Amino acid sequence: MRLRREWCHKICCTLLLGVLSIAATGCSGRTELNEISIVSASGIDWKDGKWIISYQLVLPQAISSHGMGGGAHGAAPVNVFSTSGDSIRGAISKSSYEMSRRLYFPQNQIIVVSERAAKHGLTSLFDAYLRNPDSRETVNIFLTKESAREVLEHLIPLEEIPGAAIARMIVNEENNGSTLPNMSMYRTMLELLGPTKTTGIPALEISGDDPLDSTRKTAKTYSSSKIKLTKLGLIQDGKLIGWLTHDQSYGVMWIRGEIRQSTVWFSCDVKHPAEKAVIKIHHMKAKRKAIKTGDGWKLQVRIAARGTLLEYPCEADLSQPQSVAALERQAADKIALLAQNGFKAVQEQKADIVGFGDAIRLQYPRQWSAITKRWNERLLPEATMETDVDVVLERTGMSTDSFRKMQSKAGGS
Amino acid sequence: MHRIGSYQLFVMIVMFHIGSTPLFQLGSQARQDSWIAVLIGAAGGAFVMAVFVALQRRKPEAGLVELLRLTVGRWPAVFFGLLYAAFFAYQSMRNVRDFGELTSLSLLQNSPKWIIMGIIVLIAWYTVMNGNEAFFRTTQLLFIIVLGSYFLMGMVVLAMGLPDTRMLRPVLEHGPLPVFRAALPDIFSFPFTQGVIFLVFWKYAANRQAVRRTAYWGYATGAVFIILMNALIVSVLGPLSTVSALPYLEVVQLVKVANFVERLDVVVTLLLFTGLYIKLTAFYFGAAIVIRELFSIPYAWGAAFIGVIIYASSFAERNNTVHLWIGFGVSLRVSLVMQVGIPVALLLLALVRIRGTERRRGGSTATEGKAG
Repeated sequence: MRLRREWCHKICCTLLLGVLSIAATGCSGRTELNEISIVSASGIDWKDGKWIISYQLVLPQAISSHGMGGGAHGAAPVNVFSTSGDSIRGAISKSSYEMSRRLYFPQNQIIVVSERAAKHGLTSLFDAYLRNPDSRETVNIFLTKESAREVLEHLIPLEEIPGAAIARMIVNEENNGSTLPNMSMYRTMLELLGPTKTTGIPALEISGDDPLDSTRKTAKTYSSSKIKLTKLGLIQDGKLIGWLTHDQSYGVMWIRGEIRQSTVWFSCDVKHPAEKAVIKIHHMKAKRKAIKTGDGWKLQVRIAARGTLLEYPCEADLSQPQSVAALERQAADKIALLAQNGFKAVQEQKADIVGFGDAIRLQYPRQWSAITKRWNERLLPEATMETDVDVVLERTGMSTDSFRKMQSKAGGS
Repeated sequence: MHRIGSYQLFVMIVMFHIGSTPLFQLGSQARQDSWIAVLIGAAGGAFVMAVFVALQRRKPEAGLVELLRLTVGRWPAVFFGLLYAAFFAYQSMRNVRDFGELTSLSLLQNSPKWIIMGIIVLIAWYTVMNGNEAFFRTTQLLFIIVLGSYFLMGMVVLAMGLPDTRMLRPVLEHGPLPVFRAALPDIFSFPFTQGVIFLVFWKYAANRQAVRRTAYWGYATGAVFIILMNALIVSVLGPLSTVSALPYLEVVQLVKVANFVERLDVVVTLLLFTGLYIKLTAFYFGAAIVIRELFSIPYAWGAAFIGVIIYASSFAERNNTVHLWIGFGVSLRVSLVMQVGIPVALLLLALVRIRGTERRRGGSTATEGKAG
């Protein structure tokens, strides 16, 4: 009797192991690599009432052989095609008319939205993203003035997959230049659901006339055209309403306190205003406070920045604290100017992306709920901003006196 | 049935209350104050837990069915016992359905739901057949894994700098009223007063004196964890937490450490599976024990019968929207009665009708149970 139970036990365990190993491969939820085509970048366009979705597909064979030869000849690493439809997901499902494989979106790195589509309205894009489990909300989103498809067709020299390269480019820009923010889908949605319902998205542009859409063109030592990060597009209520230039966007980043590392140049000598000293800011903090002034509002921004000197053409003696203090003041004035320009641009466009509305909401919650609707249109243009910038120049770099000063001391000009 | 140790009881209470709670964003009507709503719900639930513990202390060797028999008499006890068995089976069915919906939504979109739900009901049935030692030991093992995983996820999310405390401010933006409205009765009934199931298990405790201590500590730990989880989710997702179907999953999907640690959804889904499994098995087990004590039928038959009922009824709801609508609507009202109303009434009756078997200081220990 016991022997029979033991055998029964053994057979059941073996069967169970067998069943589990079948189930471990995912059964009906399996995804075979040769049944999917990996999308590394997608583009959204709007034309004649239809959405046009473009996909940049990665060709695994072209990438895997790249490491061997090192040459840029052979097949292009990516392939681009488009589908159109009345809705975004409808257009995507039409890809089965042309593709032998299912589109696989989880590796999608960037989305490029054309200006026309952004002006039409992006709420259906955000809804499609939230609702579908295979679209990641960490995708970087970009705008472009012309056609999204052309941006996807453009190869990037030195990089294999253009989609991933552009994603790294904006991360690089946010960490080292901090002029444009790195907007992921999730961050964009959060800001559009925030108090001011406004956000800024960086734009890409193809500079030059001859786009690099084949590997023959990338074989040269220079590129006839490049993909560049240009302006900041302002989105309000899901629609594009305006643009900010680089400098204005930079000022906005200062007010928002999102500068990670950046360089600021300013003139250090009133007699030679064209000579600029350069400071690298490696740490900054911005505190925004909203103050009610009568019927209007004032934003008080306190910026504290720390940096090191990178370039210095003037002749003050940097071993003296006064000269360093003077430099710090000049840097602070330049930063204040940048911030004011950014704020003015934001006021003109009537789009609050500097966190002013957020500050009011945190400090005066009741009043904010009363003025929410009128904020961007009427109250923001009347508001003022007051800046209080404090720059600490931690080090003057590897040398003290400037080269010019050493030349004049050596008996030269 | 084997005896359950105090540590095992503690672990079970913690895991049971945590259960599948990260699956939902509790108190989402209160928006950024949802963690305060959860705090209020937990505080209210603590009082109800005190009621349960008081019931247990009245007669430590009595389970739910005996307590009913002693307080309301034999035939009403059958009626209420059946009611509780049906209620526990219903709660188990809800968790089975949640399991199926979660799997369909996140991991296996193409697998048929009947297979998924069938597998988990089979696993629960096997656990129930092996008795409470198997169940409590399994939970003890899973506790370490679950705790470690939640801790790891929390660390990773914090390391990425995803939480932003500005999302939690301004505190009480629209006043305390929406917070209270969100807390009672919704959060009060799920998950904080579901501990009524423990009235069935406490009679098997090895150390009946320690039940009170373990119950309070377990409840407090579970409540603190849920509140922190809630605050974390809101601080990461902000306004998106109210629309997301699986907010904790959404949070973990945003994790991207060192450019290669991504897509940790599987960890989260496994954590939710574990929590759902523990809850549904606890309710299934409770229902099986109640049936056995009411009708003295062989345990295997009772367990199988309940299992079939749970599996069959998990198809009754048409789609996920109906499932959630019933869950946050009718089911909450019914739960209030079964989890709070009836136990409070039982406690009042028990104070009158059952002479306690233990006195605090000396005194005679006369057992004068008056069966009505």
